[in-house]
Amino acid sequence: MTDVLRLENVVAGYGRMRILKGVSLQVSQGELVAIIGANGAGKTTTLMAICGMVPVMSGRILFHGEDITNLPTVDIVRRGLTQVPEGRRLFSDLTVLENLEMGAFQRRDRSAVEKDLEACFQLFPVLGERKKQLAGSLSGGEQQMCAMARALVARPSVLLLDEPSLGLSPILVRQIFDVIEELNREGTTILLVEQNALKALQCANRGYVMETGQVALAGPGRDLLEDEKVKKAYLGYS
Amino acid sequence: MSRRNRRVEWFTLAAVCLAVALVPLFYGFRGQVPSTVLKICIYAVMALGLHVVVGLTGLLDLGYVTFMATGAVLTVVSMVAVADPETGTLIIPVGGRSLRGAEHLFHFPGSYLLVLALAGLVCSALGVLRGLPTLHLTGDYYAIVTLGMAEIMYIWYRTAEWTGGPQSLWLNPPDVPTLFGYKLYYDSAIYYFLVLMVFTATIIGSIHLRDSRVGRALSAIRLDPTAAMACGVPVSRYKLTAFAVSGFIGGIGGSLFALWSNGFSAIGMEVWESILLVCCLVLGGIGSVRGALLGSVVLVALGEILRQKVPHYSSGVGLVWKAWPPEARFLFYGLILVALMRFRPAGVLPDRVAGDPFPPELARAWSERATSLFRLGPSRKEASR
Repeated sequence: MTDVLRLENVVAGYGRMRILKGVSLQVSQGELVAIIGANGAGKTTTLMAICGMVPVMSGRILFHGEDITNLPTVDIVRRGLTQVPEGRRLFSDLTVLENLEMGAFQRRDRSAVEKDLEACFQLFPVLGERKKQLAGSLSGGEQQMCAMARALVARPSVLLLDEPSLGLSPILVRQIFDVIEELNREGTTILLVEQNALKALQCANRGYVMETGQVALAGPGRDLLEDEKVKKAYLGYS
Repeated sequence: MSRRNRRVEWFTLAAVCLAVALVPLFYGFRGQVPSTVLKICIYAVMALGLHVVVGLTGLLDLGYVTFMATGAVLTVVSMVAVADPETGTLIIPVGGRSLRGAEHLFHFPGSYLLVLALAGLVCSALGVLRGLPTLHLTGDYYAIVTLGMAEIMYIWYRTAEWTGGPQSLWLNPPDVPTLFGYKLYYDSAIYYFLVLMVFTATIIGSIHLRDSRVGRALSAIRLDPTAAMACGVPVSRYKLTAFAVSGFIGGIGGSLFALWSNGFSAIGMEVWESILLVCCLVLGGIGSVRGALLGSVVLVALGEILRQKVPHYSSGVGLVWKAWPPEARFLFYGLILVALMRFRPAGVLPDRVAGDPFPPELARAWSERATSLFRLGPSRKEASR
């Protein structure tokens, strides 16, 4: 398997504060990789650094073998890396359909976009029913689906998901994870950041545990679930 | 917006333009009514220019008068500029004096269209120039900086020699620009239809911009710049585009305004003009094209009506006819805005309400609330509890 996304000793942060203190990880084609960790461990910052929204001070980020470190976000999106940001961040005053069209902002192939929109409405039927509704009036779960659909119509080769289960009821969390697994089965490479460690590790091929800006532990999802330290710190066993 | 609503919108706007075109049939081109209609159209053009930044991109610009003043001063200065018959140097005759035998430099066939385009382009460049250092500012900070920049420009125009400084530069009959062989006097038919054409073009352009890819991207920037960036919108470039378009329209509006007021006076380009234009947008509903039109109609017409003489009671003399002082209109603008915030905080004609553009249940709720305000005792809702 080839690495699609690779971080080598990435140091990044805001101003003079370093949040990431040398993070290395890789994601292979077709994988579903989860990053778990406590609040403030640097999970979201890792995704932001990949997207070029947080400056990288040292280290490299490779995407399909190409160095994308500190490129403008616009260029990174164009290369096929799309993020579903934490807390959905939909355009609340635009309709669902307009939100999805914004996701396809960089694409010029109108007819293919139409087809992808149809596919999105198949995947999330509730969005199809509400495509004329303002995105701000959707429920939390629907908003998460809309945010994921908006990222998908960009046709990313790697999808970055930041806390998709944030603030959702257990039933909706299960639904969202079902969709994530289905997308992955259909061939989308996914890098997932989650607080819900159990859910994330159950569906992930591999996982990384982050602590204070570094990768503390890495391995296949099932192995991490069995790990004593992980169990104690993140899964609530004592 | 659904297809049906869009058709309604086009129909309404076409009706507005047609109404403006029909005014001269009843009132001619000279007098209070056509002059007010023209002022409304010019302010509507400028309000729509401001709408690109305030309504679409969501940045509060409190310095839009800069573009109006720049467009106006460029027009007047280029039209009155003459060559000194002896030395051949450029002279701007300040204070209405004219030089005998001097030749106008910028008077040639079609020169006004050139001046109009120049006013637009210079203001467009000014908008970009003003936008570059403020690209990362939002909210109050952007508003404060634009306010300050406009004040700097105002002081410059008021003190500089080439603008006439505190005096006015008048467009004497020989200075008035010519279009297709006709003089563009403020009460001429050709000027009337030129304004009407610009007005119509600005409306059509505004609607197309709103519904275009660029307009959608600007809306995305307004609603969430970070998410817009994550969608691949080049945020800085689109913001600069918005500033350029907004400045262009402002310059054109300013140029037409100079012809309307038959000259330029820096004193008239105070910060109030910016506030008035913002009020036009707020009154009609920020982000809405129809709203910008409605706001300009109401506020400009009100300003003109308040200039009329009204009966005042004066002790010893009885009733006398006097006009309100010009500042009185701000009192009424203030009252209107306070009432607006109380009854329709989103403006009179907002572009988007959740669901239907004007849902009947909302209308019912409004009338219910409005009547309950004037009712004594518990409201119907409270009584039924």
